[in-house]
Amino acid sequence: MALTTPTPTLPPDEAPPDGAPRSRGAWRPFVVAAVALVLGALLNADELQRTAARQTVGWERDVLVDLAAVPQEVADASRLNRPRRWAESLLGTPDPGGSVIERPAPPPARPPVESDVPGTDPTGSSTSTSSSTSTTVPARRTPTASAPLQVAVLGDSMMQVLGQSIVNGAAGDDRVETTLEYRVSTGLTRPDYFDWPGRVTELLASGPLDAVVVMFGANDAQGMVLPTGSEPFGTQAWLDEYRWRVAWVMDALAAGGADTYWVGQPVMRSDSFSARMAALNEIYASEAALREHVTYVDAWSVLSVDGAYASHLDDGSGPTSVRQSDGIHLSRAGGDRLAAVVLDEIRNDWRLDR
Amino acid sequence: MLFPTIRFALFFMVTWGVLLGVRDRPVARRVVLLGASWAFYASWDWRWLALVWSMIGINHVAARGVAWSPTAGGRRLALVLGIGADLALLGTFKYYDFFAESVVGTLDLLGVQASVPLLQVALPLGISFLTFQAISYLVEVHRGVTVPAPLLDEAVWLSFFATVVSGPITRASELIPQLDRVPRATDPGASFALVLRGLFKKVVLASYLASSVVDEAFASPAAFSATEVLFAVYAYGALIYVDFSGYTDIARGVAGLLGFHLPENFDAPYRAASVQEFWTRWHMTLTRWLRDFLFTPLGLRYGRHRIIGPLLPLLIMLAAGLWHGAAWTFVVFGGIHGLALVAERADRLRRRRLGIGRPPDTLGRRVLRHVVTLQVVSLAWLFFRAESMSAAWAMLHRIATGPLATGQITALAALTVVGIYGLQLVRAPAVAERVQAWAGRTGPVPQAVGLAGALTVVDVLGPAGVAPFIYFGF
Repeated sequence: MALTTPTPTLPPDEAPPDGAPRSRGAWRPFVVAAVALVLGALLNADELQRTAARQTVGWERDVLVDLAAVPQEVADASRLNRPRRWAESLLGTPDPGGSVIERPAPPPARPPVESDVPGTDPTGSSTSTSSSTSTTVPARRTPTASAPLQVAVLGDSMMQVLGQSIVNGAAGDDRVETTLEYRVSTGLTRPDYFDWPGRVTELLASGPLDAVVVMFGANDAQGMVLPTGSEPFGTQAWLDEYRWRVAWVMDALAAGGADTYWVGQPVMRSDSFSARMAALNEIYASEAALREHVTYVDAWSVLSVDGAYASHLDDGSGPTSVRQSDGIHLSRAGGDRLAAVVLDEIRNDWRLDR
Repeated sequence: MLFPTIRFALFFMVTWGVLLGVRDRPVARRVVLLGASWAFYASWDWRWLALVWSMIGINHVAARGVAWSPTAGGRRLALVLGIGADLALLGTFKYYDFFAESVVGTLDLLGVQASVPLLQVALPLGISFLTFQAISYLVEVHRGVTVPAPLLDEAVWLSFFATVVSGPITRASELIPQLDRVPRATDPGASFALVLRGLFKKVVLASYLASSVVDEAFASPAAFSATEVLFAVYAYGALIYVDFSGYTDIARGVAGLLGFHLPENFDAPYRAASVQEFWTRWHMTLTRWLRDFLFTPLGLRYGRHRIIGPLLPLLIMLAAGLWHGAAWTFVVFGGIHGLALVAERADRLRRRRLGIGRPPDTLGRRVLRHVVTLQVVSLAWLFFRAESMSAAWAMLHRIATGPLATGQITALAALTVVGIYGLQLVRAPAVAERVQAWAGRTGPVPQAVGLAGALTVVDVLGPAGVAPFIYFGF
């Protein structure tokens, strides 16, 4: 039984005469790789710039953006970035846009709808909002198999498992039709990476939605780029801007005729991260409380023991893992547990008796 | 720090450059390599370094105990203690919670309410690979194949950044002697080609299949037809191949640029016409480990046992399944492969006993053997990928009862999956080798231009951001 693999013999012209490495040619592959990487940086200067801009807002990002500007200038002057631009236009790769978001115009107020449900106020009452927009209470139709409830499920990587659980949970009911769209590493602080307000506008324009389940925040506890400059997480200016964006999404969905089920963040294993999520949850909950068409789903209480982090919860047959090993994302069982709460809210609101 | 990132490229270039700078100083080379490897491992979680250091220390002491004990009993005791300590570390981090949950669940079914404290700690990357390498070291010392290595050499080998996270599973006897050659690349052209091939497999193919076919179908089979779910299972077989072999290609490529020759890990596994042959082509360094350190010694001891003997492949594959992950889905994965191996072995023994040879190898029989093998392997992959046993049953139920629509299978996805399987079945023309040989004869500038162009193609075709390799979880 051969337990060892013979080491390959060196080519004759490079074999060391006495066991000692010979210098000649040792640097050559290194130089080739180094030149290739420099040239690669020029060919991909646009993407380097975008990658640098996607980093967490702070001094490291500022340094990286400055560094990436060097190959960008050389590539612009030498036109070495043209091949990639040409390839991207050929492949239809979308342009992610700039790093600073222009404040979108406030969405219009939701139009009153004639109710087909006896006992429902067809117009509702105008509610006050912290973002100075006003919305009205929706009139809910009765979903049927021929005209099912159209539910969009939107969010970041946290929504991957939760959204799949929602889709699975609703799959047996032909009165509900779900579509899931999750984008990893996205949120409301970095529209330069993915523009959720823009995507929400697109979705509403593409067809009627009855309900939208939303979960953002896990990627949002970071600095924000504002027209006035970078703003670190947690300052009053940051909180005000973030609140405004949350309110904008809620009002845009309302104006598009959709009920919103805003899922808050669960408690995280890291205490400091949990504290950040709690600050965001306060914004979601308080903004939702101002709007009758928005329901806040408290994930924190669903996935904790007395408010404290728990990787396992008892599902009646012993402890079951509800979180992934990173202490952030949900396991399938955790997703199912939270999805059941979301679906109960939707069923209650839309009178979808099982 | 994932391989297909700018961060790793910079880390590697700095490490390579410093190694070249001290290439005439053997101790400095080792120290640089060790420091770089520890920095690489700590980039995920610096606390996991304690695990690597523990492994190095335990096995250094145990190897000396094995080599220097004056009696056979003493050598054996040192071996058992060393392996026991390695397995205790693995068991604590990887399996304790799984067994505790299983025990509590079983007792609950029996009406007994029990409570067992769970560790709830994150699984250190590469712990399974580290453990297998460490055990192979002790056994090789015990067998006299190798002698205890100096502490620095052993530390460099166990910590080596190219293999520490997901293999290939190397042995001290094959890697430590190579430390004298580092950092001289024996065939840089082949190493560059390996890196590029691995990047293409991982960044382009694996990312595409995961995001466009596999992830959604496995998460929500009810949203797909039977045909689409079945297609997702085959797509996962293609995905895990390009993901894991892509990782191995990059690992072998970067190691090759530093002068290391790492063993092959894949040899067109879907060309296999039996499950036994599959394991000679898939994750070959794991198969080699299982053969040398489990199957051969256990076979010598229990091979003639009436019950254990025939079931030995099953028992070993169950253990291999559990090595992949602490979940019942992995046990079933190993069980399916084990049962297939038992059946194939029983057929061979029956033919030998009855004196009948293999039937003539017609095209029809060859195709049938390929098809049957692929179905067995794919069934096992279904359990391997499923998040839980209930999710695996949901997939199977959908395949059995769902509609036959194919609307969500795109032509590009079908072409990708068929291409990944098909290129292994046919002997691909040696175009890549010819291009590589031609590139090797050109000057450094054309080589650098070619490399930069290939990197650009991979980056343009791949998504922004790369998911971790599947085998990082093991």
